[in-house]
Amino acid sequence: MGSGRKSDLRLKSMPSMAPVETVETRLLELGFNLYSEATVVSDNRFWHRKLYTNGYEVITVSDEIGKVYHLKDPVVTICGRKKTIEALRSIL
Amino acid sequence: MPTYDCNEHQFVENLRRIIDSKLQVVVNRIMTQRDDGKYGLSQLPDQEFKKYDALASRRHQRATVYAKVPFYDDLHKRLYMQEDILHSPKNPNRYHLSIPYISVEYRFTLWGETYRHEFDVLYQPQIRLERREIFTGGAEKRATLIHVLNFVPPPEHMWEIHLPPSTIVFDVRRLSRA
Repeated sequence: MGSGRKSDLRLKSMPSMAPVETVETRLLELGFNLYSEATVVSDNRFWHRKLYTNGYEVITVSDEIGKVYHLKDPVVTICGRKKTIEALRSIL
Repeated sequence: MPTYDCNEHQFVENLRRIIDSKLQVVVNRIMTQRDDGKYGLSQLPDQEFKKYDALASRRHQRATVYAKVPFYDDLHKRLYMQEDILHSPKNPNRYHLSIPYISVEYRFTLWGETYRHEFDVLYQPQIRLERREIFTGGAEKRATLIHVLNFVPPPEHMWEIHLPPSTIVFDVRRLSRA
């Protein structure tokens, strides 16, 4: 199933200054596929959370929805290989 | 013992630092299905409210929400007629339409200090036209073609924070201190 071994997985969470579309485009280039999505409420804010997978690697992209009066930062949480983390870090 | 609230980014990064320092930690997860009126249609941002567009209308976010057409709420077994109030932030009512959700809390304790991250995952609406037998006044039931609202639970992997296999996650019901 997919690339890499489970034991190679690392954890990383990054707020992103880049728009969510840029992050999603990069994820597709890296071979990730959209697996599912949901609406999440956290810190009294509504988020559209999308889950991308590529083998054992899992990435969630949480994008705030609604009227946002502050700098909006999609949060990208990665449980993946070092190579994937580095590839995403370069665009965030 | 202090407890610190974290957002997703802070919680995951704190956990990553522990994993990187080769310390062992157990993460507890508490998940509860709720339908307590915490979330109603008037609170939803426009993007989320669009999912209910076939049944409900409102002027703007936080304004009173009215039924656009008659519909049956299959989860709460309630019939709403056109122009019925579905949710009003100023006058909350137990007959208003509430959105069920799954409340998720992750927490771990290190050196006597607890770090936690909480979030709610909303059920998704499913709207269909169905022929249903409903009371429309009088004594008898009549089969009518009507909009039916159902709520679909979010997929299980959307309640999870995905962690490397070296991290142990225990599901617990509630936390109590001796």
